[in-house]
Amino acid sequence: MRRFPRAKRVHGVKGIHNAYKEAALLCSTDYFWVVDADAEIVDSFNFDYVVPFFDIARVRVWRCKNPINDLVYGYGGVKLLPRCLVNKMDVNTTDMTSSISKHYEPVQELSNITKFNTDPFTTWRSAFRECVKLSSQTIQGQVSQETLERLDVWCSVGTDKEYGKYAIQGARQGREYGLENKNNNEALRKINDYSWLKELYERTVSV
Amino acid sequence: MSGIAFNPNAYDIVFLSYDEPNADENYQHLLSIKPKAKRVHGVKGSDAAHKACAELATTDRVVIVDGDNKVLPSLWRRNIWIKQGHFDWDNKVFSYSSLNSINGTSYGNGGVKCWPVEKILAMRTHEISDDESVSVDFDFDSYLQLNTIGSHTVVNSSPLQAWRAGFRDAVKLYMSGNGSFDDVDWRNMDRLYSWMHVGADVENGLWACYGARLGCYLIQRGYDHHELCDFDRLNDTFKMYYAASHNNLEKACNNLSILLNHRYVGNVFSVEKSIEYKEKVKPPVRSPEEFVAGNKDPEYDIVFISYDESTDNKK
Repeated sequence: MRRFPRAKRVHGVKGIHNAYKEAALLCSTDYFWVVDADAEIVDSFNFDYVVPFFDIARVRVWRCKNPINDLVYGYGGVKLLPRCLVNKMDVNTTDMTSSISKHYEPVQELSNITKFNTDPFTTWRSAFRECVKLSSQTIQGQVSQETLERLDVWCSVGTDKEYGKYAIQGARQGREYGLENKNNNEALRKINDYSWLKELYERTVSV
Repeated sequence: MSGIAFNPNAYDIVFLSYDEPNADENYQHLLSIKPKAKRVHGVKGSDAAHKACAELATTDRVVIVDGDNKVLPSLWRRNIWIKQGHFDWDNKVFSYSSLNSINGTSYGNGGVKCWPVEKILAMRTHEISDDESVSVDFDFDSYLQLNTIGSHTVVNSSPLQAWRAGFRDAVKLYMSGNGSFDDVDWRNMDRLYSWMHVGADVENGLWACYGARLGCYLIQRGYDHHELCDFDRLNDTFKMYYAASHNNLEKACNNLSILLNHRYVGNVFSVEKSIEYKEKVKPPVRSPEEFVAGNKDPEYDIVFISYDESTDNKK
Protein backbone atom coordinates (compact mmCIF):
# COMPACT_ATOMS: atom_id res chain seq x y z
CA MET A 1 0.00 0.00 0.00
CA ARG A 2 2.87 2.38 0.75
CA ARG A 3 4.42 1.91 -2.68
CA PHE A 4 1.18 1.44 -4.60
CA PRO A 5 -1.69 3.31 -2.93
CA ARG A 6 -4.10 2.28 -5.68
CA ALA A 7 -4.04 -1.30 -4.36
CA LYS A 8 -7.35 -2.73 -3.14
CA ARG A 9 -7.86 -5.67 -0.81
CA VAL A 10 -9.96 -8.82 -0.58
CA HIS A 11 -9.81 -10.47 2.83
CA GLY A 12 -11.27 -13.63 4.31
CA VAL A 13 -13.19 -14.95 1.31
CA LYS A 14 -13.45 -18.71 1.55
CA GLY A 15 -12.16 -20.60 -1.46
CA ILE A 16 -9.39 -19.30 -3.68
CA HIS A 17 -11.52 -19.15 -6.80
CA ASN A 18 -14.16 -17.14 -4.96
CA ALA A 19 -11.54 -14.74 -3.62
CA TYR A 20 -10.28 -14.08 -7.14
CA LYS A 21 -13.80 -13.55 -8.42
CA GLU A 22 -14.39 -11.08 -5.61
CA ALA A 23 -11.17 -9.33 -6.60
CA ALA A 24 -12.36 -9.06 -10.20
CA LEU A 25 -15.53 -7.36 -9.02
CA LEU A 26 -13.47 -4.66 -7.30
CA CYS A 27 -11.74 -3.81 -10.55
CA SER A 28 -12.66 -1.88 -13.66
CA THR A 29 -9.52 -2.23 -15.77
CA ASP A 30 -9.38 -4.98 -18.41
CA TYR A 31 -6.60 -6.74 -16.51
CA PHE A 32 -5.83 -6.68 -12.81
CA TRP A 33 -2.83 -7.57 -10.71
CA VAL A 34 -3.14 -10.11 -7.93
CA VAL A 35 -0.75 -10.08 -4.99
CA ASP A 36 -1.00 -12.87 -2.45
CA ALA A 37 -0.85 -11.96 1.22
CA ASP A 38 2.51 -13.64 1.75
CA ALA A 39 4.18 -11.80 -1.15
CA GLU A 40 6.94 -9.30 -0.47
CA ILE A 41 7.31 -7.26 -3.64
CA VAL A 42 10.91 -6.68 -4.75
CA ASP A 43 12.05 -3.10 -5.30
CA SER A 44 12.57 -3.57 -9.03
CA PHE A 45 8.96 -4.60 -9.66
CA ASN A 46 6.62 -1.72 -10.50
CA PHE A 47 3.30 -3.12 -11.79
CA ASP A 48 3.87 -1.24 -15.03
CA TYR A 49 3.49 -4.04 -17.59
CA VAL A 50 0.98 -3.22 -20.31
CA VAL A 51 -0.75 -5.89 -22.37
CA PRO A 52 -1.11 -5.16 -26.10
CA PHE A 53 -4.75 -4.17 -26.52
CA PHE A 54 -5.62 -6.76 -29.13
CA ASP A 55 -3.75 -9.64 -27.52
CA ILE A 56 -5.68 -12.76 -26.60
CA ALA A 57 -6.64 -12.94 -22.93
CA ARG A 58 -3.78 -14.68 -21.15
CA VAL A 59 -2.96 -15.39 -17.55
CA ARG A 60 0.50 -13.98 -16.86
CA VAL A 61 2.52 -15.06 -13.85
CA TRP A 62 5.77 -13.46 -12.73
CA ARG A 63 8.65 -15.31 -11.07
CA CYS A 64 8.91 -15.53 -7.37
CA LYS A 65 11.58 -16.65 -4.92
CA ASN A 66 10.86 -19.29 -2.31
CA PRO A 67 12.60 -18.32 0.97
CA ILE A 68 12.90 -21.91 2.21
CA ASN A 69 14.33 -23.79 -0.76
CA ASP A 70 15.41 -20.86 -3.02
CA LEU A 71 13.43 -22.14 -6.00
CA VAL A 72 12.55 -19.33 -8.41
CA TYR A 73 9.49 -19.88 -10.60
CA GLY A 74 5.81 -18.92 -10.79
CA TYR A 75 4.77 -20.34 -7.43
CA GLY A 76 3.49 -17.45 -5.28
CA GLY A 77 4.30 -14.92 -8.00
CA VAL A 78 2.34 -11.81 -8.86
CA LYS A 79 -0.33 -12.50 -11.48
CA LEU A 80 -1.88 -10.33 -14.14
CA LEU A 81 -5.34 -11.66 -14.92
CA PRO A 82 -7.93 -10.84 -17.59
CA ARG A 83 -10.85 -9.52 -15.53
CA CYS A 84 -13.66 -10.64 -17.85
CA LEU A 85 -12.46 -14.25 -17.81
CA VAL A 86 -12.04 -14.34 -14.04
CA ASN A 87 -15.70 -13.35 -13.75
CA LYS A 88 -16.68 -16.40 -15.76
CA MET A 89 -14.20 -19.00 -14.54
CA ASP A 90 -15.19 -22.47 -13.43
CA VAL A 91 -14.81 -22.60 -9.65
CA ASN A 92 -14.66 -26.40 -9.54
CA THR A 93 -11.11 -26.89 -10.70
CA THR A 94 -7.92 -27.67 -8.80
CA ASP A 95 -5.65 -25.06 -10.33
CA MET A 96 -7.24 -21.65 -10.45
CA THR A 97 -5.01 -19.97 -13.04
CA SER A 98 -5.50 -22.61 -15.71
CA SER A 99 -9.27 -22.48 -15.25
CA ILE A 100 -9.29 -18.77 -16.17
CA SER A 101 -7.72 -19.17 -19.59
CA LYS A 102 -5.97 -21.90 -21.52
CA HIS A 103 -3.43 -19.27 -22.52
CA TYR A 104 -0.72 -19.01 -19.88
CA GLU A 105 2.45 -16.96 -20.05
CA PRO A 106 5.22 -17.20 -17.47
CA VAL A 107 6.97 -13.84 -17.37
CA GLN A 108 10.73 -14.09 -16.81
CA GLU A 109 11.01 -11.28 -14.30
CA LEU A 110 11.14 -11.54 -10.51
CA SER A 111 8.16 -9.93 -8.80
CA ASN A 112 8.42 -11.00 -5.16
CA ILE A 113 9.53 -13.30 -2.41
CA THR A 114 6.74 -15.53 -1.16
CA LYS A 115 7.14 -15.38 2.61
CA PHE A 116 4.76 -18.18 3.42
CA ASN A 117 6.80 -19.54 6.34
CA THR A 118 5.15 -17.48 9.03
CA ASP A 119 3.93 -20.30 11.29
CA PRO A 120 3.94 -24.11 11.19
CA PHE A 121 0.46 -24.58 9.73
CA THR A 122 0.66 -21.90 7.04
CA THR A 123 4.06 -23.20 5.97
CA TRP A 124 2.86 -26.80 5.83
CA ARG A 125 -0.32 -25.82 3.96
CA SER A 126 1.50 -23.86 1.27
CA ALA A 127 3.96 -26.68 0.64
CA PHE A 128 1.26 -29.33 0.67
CA ARG A 129 -0.93 -27.52 -1.86
CA GLU A 130 1.88 -26.76 -4.27
CA CYS A 131 3.29 -30.28 -4.17
CA VAL A 132 -0.12 -31.83 -4.78
CA LYS A 133 -0.28 -29.76 -7.96
CA LEU A 134 3.26 -30.63 -8.97
CA SER A 135 2.96 -34.37 -8.36
CA SER A 136 -0.50 -34.73 -9.91
CA GLN A 137 0.64 -32.53 -12.82
CA THR A 138 -2.72 -30.77 -12.95
CA ILE A 139 -1.29 -27.48 -14.11
CA GLN A 140 -1.70 -26.84 -17.80
CA GLY A 141 1.58 -26.64 -19.69
CA GLN A 142 3.73 -28.19 -16.99
CA VAL A 143 7.04 -29.55 -18.21
CA SER A 144 7.34 -32.95 -16.64
CA GLN A 145 11.08 -33.08 -15.91
CA GLU A 146 11.17 -29.53 -14.56
CA THR A 147 8.18 -30.29 -12.36
CA LEU A 148 9.85 -33.39 -10.91
CA GLU A 149 13.03 -31.47 -10.18
CA ARG A 150 11.07 -28.78 -8.35
CA LEU A 151 9.19 -31.43 -6.43
CA ASP A 152 12.45 -33.00 -5.30
CA VAL A 153 13.72 -29.66 -4.04
CA TRP A 154 10.47 -28.93 -2.15
CA CYS A 155 10.71 -32.33 -0.46
CA SER A 156 14.35 -32.09 0.59
CA VAL A 157 15.74 -28.55 0.90
CA GLY A 158 15.29 -26.03 3.72
CA THR A 159 15.49 -27.74 7.09
CA ASP A 160 17.73 -24.90 8.30
CA LYS A 161 15.16 -22.20 7.45
CA GLU A 162 12.39 -20.98 9.71
CA TYR A 163 9.60 -23.59 9.74
CA GLY A 164 11.53 -25.39 7.00
CA LYS A 165 10.72 -28.78 8.52
CA TYR A 166 7.03 -28.04 8.18
CA ALA A 167 7.52 -27.12 4.54
CA ILE A 168 9.30 -30.37 3.82
CA GLN A 169 6.72 -32.45 5.64
CA GLY A 170 3.89 -30.65 3.82
CA ALA A 171 5.70 -31.16 0.52
CA ARG A 172 6.16 -34.86 1.09
CA GLN A 173 2.55 -35.37 2.16
CA GLY A 174 1.40 -33.30 -0.79
CA ARG A 175 3.51 -35.33 -3.20
CA GLU A 176 2.02 -38.53 -1.86
CA TYR A 177 -1.54 -37.19 -1.95
CA GLY A 178 -1.10 -35.87 -5.49
CA LEU A 179 0.24 -39.15 -6.79
CA GLU A 180 -2.50 -41.17 -5.08
CA ASN A 181 -5.24 -38.93 -6.48
CA LYS A 182 -3.75 -38.05 -9.84
CA ASN A 183 -6.99 -38.80 -11.68
CA ASN A 184 -9.41 -37.95 -8.90
CA ASN A 185 -10.51 -34.35 -9.44
CA GLU A 186 -12.77 -34.35 -6.42
CA ALA A 187 -9.91 -35.29 -4.12
CA LEU A 188 -7.57 -32.80 -5.80
CA ARG A 189 -10.06 -29.96 -5.41
CA LYS A 190 -9.90 -30.39 -1.64
CA ILE A 191 -6.57 -28.56 -1.60
CA ASN A 192 -8.55 -25.34 -2.02
CA ASP A 193 -10.61 -26.07 1.10
CA TYR A 194 -8.69 -24.53 3.98
CA SER A 195 -10.87 -26.19 6.66
CA TRP A 196 -10.07 -29.61 5.22
CA LEU A 197 -6.38 -28.73 5.14
CA LYS A 198 -6.48 -27.63 8.78
CA GLU A 199 -8.13 -30.86 9.80
CA LEU A 200 -5.59 -32.91 7.83
CA TYR A 201 -2.73 -30.98 9.39
CA GLU A 202 -3.99 -31.46 12.93
CA ARG A 203 -4.57 -35.14 12.33
CA THR A 204 -1.30 -36.03 10.64
CA VAL A 205 1.50 -33.62 11.29
CA SER A 206 4.28 -34.31 13.74
CA VAL A 207 7.68 -32.74 13.10
CA MET B 1 -4.18 19.96 -25.32
CA SER B 2 -2.26 19.49 -28.59
CA GLY B 3 -3.78 17.91 -31.68
CA ILE B 4 -6.82 18.48 -33.87
CA ALA B 5 -10.15 18.97 -32.16
CA PHE B 6 -13.06 16.90 -33.41
CA ASN B 7 -16.16 18.86 -32.43
CA PRO B 8 -19.45 17.06 -33.14
CA ASN B 9 -21.30 20.40 -32.97
CA ALA B 10 -19.78 21.38 -36.29
CA TYR B 11 -21.88 18.91 -38.27
CA ASP B 12 -25.49 18.28 -39.24
CA ILE B 13 -27.38 15.69 -37.25
CA VAL B 14 -29.76 13.18 -38.78
CA PHE B 15 -31.98 10.86 -36.77
CA LEU B 16 -32.37 7.56 -38.63
CA SER B 17 -35.38 5.40 -37.80
CA TYR B 18 -37.11 2.48 -39.44
CA ASP B 19 -39.75 0.79 -37.29
CA GLU B 20 -38.45 1.27 -33.73
CA PRO B 21 -41.42 1.59 -31.35
CA ASN B 22 -39.60 4.25 -29.35
CA ALA B 23 -38.30 6.23 -32.34
CA ASP B 24 -40.67 9.20 -32.03
CA GLU B 25 -39.91 9.55 -28.33
CA ASN B 26 -36.16 9.36 -28.97
CA TYR B 27 -36.37 11.90 -31.77
CA GLN B 28 -38.26 14.34 -29.55
CA HIS B 29 -35.57 13.83 -26.93
CA LEU B 30 -32.88 14.60 -29.51
CA LEU B 31 -34.75 17.72 -30.63
CA SER B 32 -34.84 18.92 -27.03
CA ILE B 33 -31.02 18.92 -27.13
CA LYS B 34 -30.40 19.66 -30.79
CA PRO B 35 -33.47 21.44 -32.26
CA LYS B 36 -32.12 21.42 -35.81
CA ALA B 37 -31.70 17.67 -36.02
CA LYS B 38 -33.21 16.23 -39.21
CA ARG B 39 -34.84 12.84 -39.66
CA VAL B 40 -34.88 9.99 -42.15
CA HIS B 41 -37.57 7.41 -41.53
CA GLY B 42 -38.59 4.10 -43.04
CA VAL B 43 -35.93 3.71 -45.72
CA LYS B 44 -35.34 0.03 -46.36
CA GLY B 45 -31.77 -1.25 -46.28
CA SER B 46 -28.95 0.13 -44.11
CA ASP B 47 -26.86 1.32 -47.03
CA ALA B 48 -29.77 3.16 -48.65
CA ALA B 49 -30.88 4.65 -45.32
CA HIS B 50 -27.40 6.01 -44.61
CA LYS B 51 -27.22 7.49 -48.10
CA ALA B 52 -30.53 9.23 -47.43
CA CYS B 53 -28.96 10.75 -44.30
CA ALA B 54 -25.91 11.86 -46.24
CA GLU B 55 -28.07 13.55 -48.84
CA LEU B 56 -29.77 15.63 -46.17
CA ALA B 57 -26.45 16.87 -44.80
CA THR B 58 -25.09 20.29 -45.72
CA THR B 59 -21.80 19.78 -43.87
CA ASP B 60 -18.91 17.56 -44.95
CA ARG B 61 -19.68 15.16 -42.12
CA VAL B 62 -22.96 14.02 -40.67
CA VAL B 63 -23.80 12.79 -37.19
CA ILE B 64 -26.22 9.85 -37.48
CA VAL B 65 -28.32 8.86 -34.49
CA ASP B 66 -30.11 5.51 -34.73
CA GLY B 67 -33.85 5.34 -33.98
CA ASP B 68 -33.42 3.32 -30.80
CA ASN B 69 -30.91 5.80 -29.35
CA LYS B 70 -31.54 8.20 -26.52
CA VAL B 71 -28.64 10.61 -26.89
CA LEU B 72 -26.79 12.10 -23.95
CA PRO B 73 -26.33 15.88 -23.83
CA SER B 74 -22.72 15.25 -22.82
CA LEU B 75 -21.94 14.00 -26.32
CA TRP B 76 -21.98 17.59 -27.60
CA ARG B 77 -20.09 19.06 -24.67
CA ARG B 78 -16.76 17.39 -25.27
CA ASN B 79 -14.25 17.77 -28.09
CA ILE B 80 -12.13 14.76 -29.00
CA TRP B 81 -8.49 15.76 -29.44
CA ILE B 82 -6.82 13.77 -32.18
CA LYS B 83 -3.09 13.29 -32.64
CA GLN B 84 -1.89 15.33 -35.60
CA GLY B 85 -1.14 13.35 -38.73
CA HIS B 86 -2.40 10.18 -37.15
CA PHE B 87 -4.76 9.17 -39.91
CA ASP B 88 -6.64 10.06 -43.03
CA TRP B 89 -9.24 12.25 -41.31
CA ASP B 90 -11.50 12.47 -44.35
CA ASN B 91 -12.00 8.72 -44.49
CA LYS B 92 -12.67 7.93 -40.85
CA VAL B 93 -15.91 7.48 -38.93
CA PHE B 94 -16.08 8.60 -35.29
CA SER B 95 -17.97 5.90 -33.46
CA TYR B 96 -19.20 6.65 -29.94
CA SER B 97 -19.94 3.89 -27.48
CA SER B 98 -23.50 3.26 -26.42
CA LEU B 99 -24.84 1.90 -23.16
CA ASN B 100 -27.23 -1.00 -23.74
CA SER B 101 -30.50 -0.58 -21.85
CA ILE B 102 -30.96 -4.32 -21.37
CA ASN B 103 -27.61 -5.78 -20.46
CA GLY B 104 -25.37 -2.86 -19.52
CA THR B 105 -22.75 -3.51 -22.18
CA SER B 106 -20.98 -0.48 -23.58
CA TYR B 107 -19.50 -0.62 -27.07
CA GLY B 108 -20.24 0.43 -30.61
CA ASN B 109 -23.46 -1.50 -31.13
CA GLY B 110 -26.17 1.01 -31.99
CA GLY B 111 -24.04 3.99 -31.04
CA VAL B 112 -23.92 7.49 -32.51
CA LYS B 113 -21.51 7.90 -35.42
CA CYS B 114 -20.10 10.84 -37.27
CA TRP B 115 -19.53 9.98 -40.93
CA PRO B 116 -17.75 11.75 -43.76
CA VAL B 117 -20.58 12.41 -46.22
CA GLU B 118 -18.50 11.48 -49.24
CA LYS B 119 -17.64 8.15 -47.69
CA ILE B 120 -21.30 7.25 -47.24
CA LEU B 121 -22.14 8.21 -50.77
CA ALA B 122 -19.28 6.12 -52.16
CA MET B 123 -19.70 2.99 -50.02
CA ARG B 124 -21.39 -0.24 -51.07
CA THR B 125 -22.42 -2.18 -47.97
CA HIS B 126 -25.23 -4.38 -46.66
CA GLU B 127 -27.95 -4.87 -49.27
CA ILE B 128 -25.79 -3.64 -52.18
CA SER B 129 -22.52 -5.13 -51.03
CA ASP B 130 -20.31 -7.10 -53.34
CA ASP B 131 -17.77 -7.66 -50.58
CA GLU B 132 -18.48 -10.31 -47.93
CA SER B 133 -16.71 -8.32 -45.19
CA VAL B 134 -19.32 -5.53 -45.35
CA SER B 135 -22.36 -7.61 -46.25
CA VAL B 136 -24.00 -7.42 -42.82
CA ASP B 137 -22.22 -4.43 -41.31
CA PHE B 138 -20.09 -1.41 -42.13
CA ASP B 139 -16.33 -1.36 -42.57
CA PHE B 140 -15.03 -1.43 -38.99
CA ASP B 141 -11.52 -0.65 -40.18
CA SER B 142 -12.60 2.88 -40.94
CA TYR B 143 -14.02 3.41 -37.44
CA LEU B 144 -12.28 5.47 -34.79
CA GLN B 145 -13.72 3.71 -31.79
CA LEU B 146 -14.36 5.97 -28.83
CA ASN B 147 -14.84 4.79 -25.26
CA THR B 148 -16.99 7.84 -24.56
CA ILE B 149 -20.64 6.90 -24.18
CA GLY B 150 -22.73 9.14 -26.42
CA SER B 151 -26.14 7.54 -25.96
CA HIS B 152 -28.24 4.81 -24.45
CA THR B 153 -29.42 2.26 -26.96
CA VAL B 154 -32.94 1.50 -25.79
CA VAL B 155 -33.94 -1.74 -27.44
CA ASN B 156 -36.54 -3.12 -25.05
CA SER B 157 -39.65 -1.24 -26.11
CA SER B 158 -41.29 -4.37 -27.50
CA PRO B 159 -40.60 -8.12 -27.58
CA LEU B 160 -39.75 -7.90 -31.28
CA GLN B 161 -37.34 -5.00 -30.84
CA ALA B 162 -35.52 -6.71 -27.98
CA TRP B 163 -35.41 -10.08 -29.72
CA ARG B 164 -34.17 -8.59 -32.97
CA ALA B 165 -31.45 -6.56 -31.24
CA GLY B 166 -30.21 -9.61 -29.35
CA PHE B 167 -30.47 -11.89 -32.37
CA ARG B 168 -28.67 -9.56 -34.79
CA ASP B 169 -25.79 -8.61 -32.58
CA ALA B 170 -25.28 -12.11 -31.22
CA VAL B 171 -25.06 -13.49 -34.74
CA LYS B 172 -22.48 -10.84 -35.67
CA LEU B 173 -20.45 -11.48 -32.51
CA TYR B 174 -20.66 -15.24 -32.90
CA MET B 175 -19.72 -15.06 -36.58
CA SER B 176 -16.64 -13.01 -35.63
CA GLY B 177 -15.37 -16.31 -34.22
CA ASN B 178 -16.58 -18.19 -37.31
CA GLY B 179 -19.36 -19.81 -35.32
CA SER B 180 -17.18 -21.04 -32.46
CA PHE B 181 -17.47 -19.50 -28.99
CA ASP B 182 -13.84 -20.37 -28.30
CA ASP B 183 -12.66 -18.35 -31.30
CA VAL B 184 -14.58 -15.18 -30.51
CA ASP B 185 -12.26 -12.41 -29.30
CA TRP B 186 -12.57 -12.19 -25.51
CA ARG B 187 -14.07 -8.71 -25.46
CA ASN B 188 -16.70 -9.74 -27.98
CA MET B 189 -17.29 -12.93 -26.01
CA ASP B 190 -17.92 -10.84 -22.93
CA ARG B 191 -20.54 -8.85 -24.86
CA LEU B 192 -22.12 -12.02 -26.24
CA TYR B 193 -22.21 -13.48 -22.72
CA SER B 194 -24.09 -10.41 -21.49
CA TRP B 195 -26.57 -10.57 -24.37
CA MET B 196 -27.29 -14.21 -23.54
CA HIS B 197 -27.60 -13.89 -19.76
CA VAL B 198 -28.41 -10.40 -18.52
CA GLY B 199 -31.68 -8.49 -18.73
CA ALA B 200 -34.45 -10.22 -16.80
CA ASP B 201 -34.75 -7.06 -14.71
CA VAL B 202 -36.00 -4.88 -17.57
CA GLU B 203 -39.18 -5.14 -19.60
CA ASN B 204 -38.70 -7.47 -22.58
CA GLY B 205 -35.10 -8.07 -21.56
CA LEU B 206 -35.47 -11.84 -21.71
CA TRP B 207 -36.48 -11.51 -25.36
CA ALA B 208 -33.01 -10.16 -26.07
CA CYS B 209 -31.43 -13.10 -24.22
CA TYR B 210 -33.63 -15.47 -26.18
CA GLY B 211 -32.81 -13.78 -29.49
CA ALA B 212 -29.07 -13.91 -28.74
CA ARG B 213 -29.17 -17.60 -27.89
CA LEU B 214 -31.39 -18.45 -30.82
CA GLY B 215 -29.11 -16.53 -33.18
CA CYS B 216 -26.09 -18.59 -32.12
CA TYR B 217 -28.05 -21.80 -32.27
CA LEU B 218 -29.42 -21.11 -35.75
CA ILE B 219 -25.90 -20.32 -36.98
CA GLN B 220 -24.87 -23.75 -35.73
CA ARG B 221 -27.79 -25.15 -37.74
CA GLY B 222 -26.68 -23.42 -40.95
CA TYR B 223 -28.65 -20.15 -40.81
CA ASP B 224 -27.64 -17.68 -43.52
CA HIS B 225 -26.42 -14.63 -41.61
CA HIS B 226 -27.00 -12.38 -44.60
CA GLU B 227 -30.66 -12.36 -43.52
CA LEU B 228 -29.64 -9.94 -40.77
CA CYS B 229 -30.02 -7.16 -43.35
CA ASP B 230 -33.60 -8.11 -44.17
CA PHE B 231 -35.90 -6.93 -41.40
CA ASP B 232 -38.99 -8.46 -43.01
CA ARG B 233 -37.42 -11.90 -42.87
CA LEU B 234 -36.18 -11.29 -39.33
CA ASN B 235 -39.70 -10.35 -38.31
CA ASP B 236 -40.96 -13.59 -39.86
CA THR B 237 -38.34 -15.56 -37.94
CA PHE B 238 -39.48 -13.87 -34.73
CA LYS B 239 -43.12 -14.76 -35.39
CA MET B 240 -42.15 -18.36 -36.03
CA TYR B 241 -40.35 -18.73 -32.69
CA TYR B 242 -42.66 -16.47 -30.67
CA ALA B 243 -45.43 -19.05 -30.50
CA ALA B 244 -43.11 -21.72 -29.14
CA SER B 245 -41.42 -19.56 -26.54
CA HIS B 246 -43.61 -16.77 -25.19
CA ASN B 247 -45.49 -18.84 -22.62
CA ASN B 248 -42.30 -19.70 -20.79
CA LEU B 249 -39.53 -17.54 -22.12
CA GLU B 250 -37.06 -18.34 -19.35
CA LYS B 251 -37.40 -22.04 -20.02
CA ALA B 252 -37.00 -21.47 -23.75
CA CYS B 253 -33.76 -19.57 -23.06
CA ASN B 254 -32.45 -22.28 -20.78
CA ASN B 255 -33.32 -25.01 -23.25
CA LEU B 256 -31.13 -23.22 -25.78
CA SER B 257 -28.22 -23.27 -23.32
CA ILE B 258 -28.49 -27.06 -23.31
CA LEU B 259 -28.45 -27.13 -27.10
CA LEU B 260 -25.54 -24.67 -27.31
CA ASN B 261 -23.61 -26.78 -24.79
CA HIS B 262 -20.71 -24.48 -23.96
CA ARG B 263 -19.17 -23.55 -20.62
CA TYR B 264 -19.98 -19.88 -21.22
CA VAL B 265 -23.69 -20.47 -21.81
CA GLY B 266 -25.67 -21.17 -18.66
CA ASN B 267 -29.16 -20.37 -17.45
CA VAL B 268 -30.33 -16.79 -17.89
CA PHE B 269 -29.72 -14.62 -14.84
CA SER B 270 -32.57 -13.91 -12.44
CA VAL B 271 -33.85 -10.37 -11.90
CA GLU B 272 -31.62 -9.95 -8.85
CA LYS B 273 -28.54 -11.41 -10.51
CA SER B 274 -29.05 -9.26 -13.61
CA ILE B 275 -29.19 -6.14 -11.46
CA GLU B 276 -26.13 -7.21 -9.49
CA TYR B 277 -24.18 -8.08 -12.63
CA LYS B 278 -24.82 -4.69 -14.19
CA GLU B 279 -23.91 -2.92 -10.98
CA LYS B 280 -20.74 -4.81 -10.23
CA VAL B 281 -19.23 -6.12 -13.47
CA LYS B 282 -17.76 -3.41 -15.65
CA PRO B 283 -17.71 -4.04 -19.41
CA PRO B 284 -14.31 -4.35 -21.07
CA VAL B 285 -12.66 -1.26 -22.50
CA ARG B 286 -13.78 -0.90 -26.10
CA SER B 287 -10.80 0.83 -27.63
CA PRO B 288 -7.16 1.71 -26.93
CA GLU B 289 -7.95 5.14 -28.47
CA GLU B 290 -4.40 5.32 -29.77
CA PHE B 291 -5.48 8.20 -32.02
CA VAL B 292 -6.41 10.44 -29.06
CA ALA B 293 -3.86 13.09 -28.11
CA GLY B 294 -2.41 12.68 -24.63
CA ASN B 295 -3.58 9.09 -24.37
CA LYS B 296 -1.58 7.12 -21.80
CA ASP B 297 -0.96 3.44 -21.19
CA PRO B 298 -3.48 1.86 -18.83
CA GLU B 299 -2.57 1.42 -15.18
CA TYR B 300 -4.21 -1.82 -14.10
CA ASP B 301 -5.91 -2.24 -10.74
CA ILE B 302 -3.99 -4.13 -8.05
CA VAL B 303 -5.71 -6.43 -5.55
CA PHE B 304 -4.08 -7.81 -2.43
CA ILE B 305 -5.70 -11.11 -1.44
CA SER B 306 -5.48 -12.36 2.12
CA TYR B 307 -7.26 -15.02 4.11
CA ASP B 308 -5.69 -15.82 7.47
CA GLU B 309 -2.00 -15.12 6.84
CA SER B 310 -0.24 -13.67 9.84
CA THR B 311 2.05 -11.32 7.88
CA ASP B 312 -0.46 -9.61 5.66
CA ASN B 313 -0.90 -6.42 7.69
CA LYS B 314 2.78 -5.63 7.37
CA LYS B 315 2.54 -5.06 3.59
